[in-house]
Amino acid sequence: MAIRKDANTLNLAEQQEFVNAVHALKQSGLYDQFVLRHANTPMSAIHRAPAFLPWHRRFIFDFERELQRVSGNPNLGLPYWNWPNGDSNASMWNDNLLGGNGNPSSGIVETGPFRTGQWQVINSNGVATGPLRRQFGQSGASSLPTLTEINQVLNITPYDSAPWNTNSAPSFRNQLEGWMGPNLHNRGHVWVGGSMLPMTSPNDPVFFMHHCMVDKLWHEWQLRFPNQGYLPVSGGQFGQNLTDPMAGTPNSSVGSRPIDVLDSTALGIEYDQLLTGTPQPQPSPDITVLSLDASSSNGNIAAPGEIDLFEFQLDRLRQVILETFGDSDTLMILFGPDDFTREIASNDDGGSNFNSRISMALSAGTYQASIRLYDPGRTGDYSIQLRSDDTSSPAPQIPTLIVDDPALDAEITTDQESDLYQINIGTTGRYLIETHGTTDVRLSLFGPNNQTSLIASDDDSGAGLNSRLTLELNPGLYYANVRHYSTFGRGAYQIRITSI
Amino acid sequence: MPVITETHQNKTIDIVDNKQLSINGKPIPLIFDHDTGKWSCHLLPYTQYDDLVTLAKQIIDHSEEFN
Repeated sequence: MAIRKDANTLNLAEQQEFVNAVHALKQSGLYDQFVLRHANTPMSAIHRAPAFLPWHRRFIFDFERELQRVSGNPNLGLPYWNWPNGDSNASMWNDNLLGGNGNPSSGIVETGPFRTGQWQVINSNGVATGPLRRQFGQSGASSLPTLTEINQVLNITPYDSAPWNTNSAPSFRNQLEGWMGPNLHNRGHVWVGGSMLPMTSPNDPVFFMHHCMVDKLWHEWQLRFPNQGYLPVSGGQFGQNLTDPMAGTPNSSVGSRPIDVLDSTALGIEYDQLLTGTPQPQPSPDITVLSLDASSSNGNIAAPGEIDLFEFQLDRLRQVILETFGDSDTLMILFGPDDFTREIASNDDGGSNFNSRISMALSAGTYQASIRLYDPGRTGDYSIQLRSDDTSSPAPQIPTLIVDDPALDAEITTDQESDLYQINIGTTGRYLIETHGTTDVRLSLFGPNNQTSLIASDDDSGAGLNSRLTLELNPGLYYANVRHYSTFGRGAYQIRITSI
Repeated sequence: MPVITETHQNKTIDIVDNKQLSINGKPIPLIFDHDTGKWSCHLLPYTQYDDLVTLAKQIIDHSEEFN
């Protein structure tokens, strides 16, 4: 795991490794791609808005990965700019790492590895425009954030609040970004000045150290308030909600939504030290386990912005109702199965008295439900229950695939739909299960005789974007699950099983 | 319709009706914060300014788009 260190504490070898990696990225053209990504993503999508923090977390994470790749060192961690100890006299500004301030009159950086002649900055079209510029303390910020100011901001909850912009209050995000309160992030950009002022600010490598510090503080805030979630969960501008893809964020093994980058530890991020008052990372926030058809469990939103998590398991396809009760106006989101970043349903007032209620057929697996209050500024009690719904429509029937029968016609008609089929294998043998059609689907097989033991899954081994599984199967009851490749995808397909 | 024209660093600043800005003929999308009464634009994402002339000069001085 890479450890992110205070830039002032890097030894000479670490400084040289960082500088060499940055220069290698610059020479390859990849460094400038990061500048362009930042400069050309709409400002309102990544600044002055809730996604400011997750967008930049993902941004510097990608940059760190590229540093690791080009250096050949998977443990290379992005250094952070420790503002209280990071003024012009700090060692991070020496000529082995960042070089120092720019020329007093022109602002051109004339010393260090990124000095004029060794480094060029670009505009938003990728055209080189000249040397790197810095003018410490000359552009409207004469000093850097202090530890007192940092701790002041770290005590603010919730994460963010309406109207989700520069006027949001109370808002940890808005104060960390700098539009209210002592001004932390914005002040760092303005203190450096020069090339750090415009939207092409990643032109200065200190940008990444600066945002590493920003990210470190968000990480510490998350550790201090483990029950405070990202906001808004829904109802905000597209690209700002918890499960919206963020603008200008390419696909990768790490998703592009805020929910995909909330857990720094899961991303392999670790810091050399935390501030006094920040607890060490815990395995996970408290999660209450619900049992099907048990009495309701009590919940309490004890602080504004708090989000409670509940988890339950289903052994087979079931029609269930998940519902809250009480006098609090709740919002519920359901994730799963087995992937707790995959939102499958949400509800506000489907229950009685502004309570939430989700009633649906769920396949076997583990699910998580998040509960928060509609008004993130309030607190309140509630209770929650998971129960079987045997009263509404008949228990869901699972269609049967018969070996060597003609293909079954089916269709994915709703977001996050998961189609389930049962297959009765009577004879040990080799079988082919495949889909047909123009819809990009994923196929998984479970069993035998249960819906939770995964045997195999496939995405595109079939014709076109279809799935295909060829397996040796013993007698028993198996379950094939078909989903669209895309979370919001829909379309028709056919499925068939043949003996071969 | 009041028009302000200034020259800064050999770049021409045009402000129309105190709400439209162009630099060397290039329109600059603006953001006005009604709560604070300040102007900003995407070219300088970390700062806000009291008036468009100051904003325009800062864009010319610091944005790579006019170098």
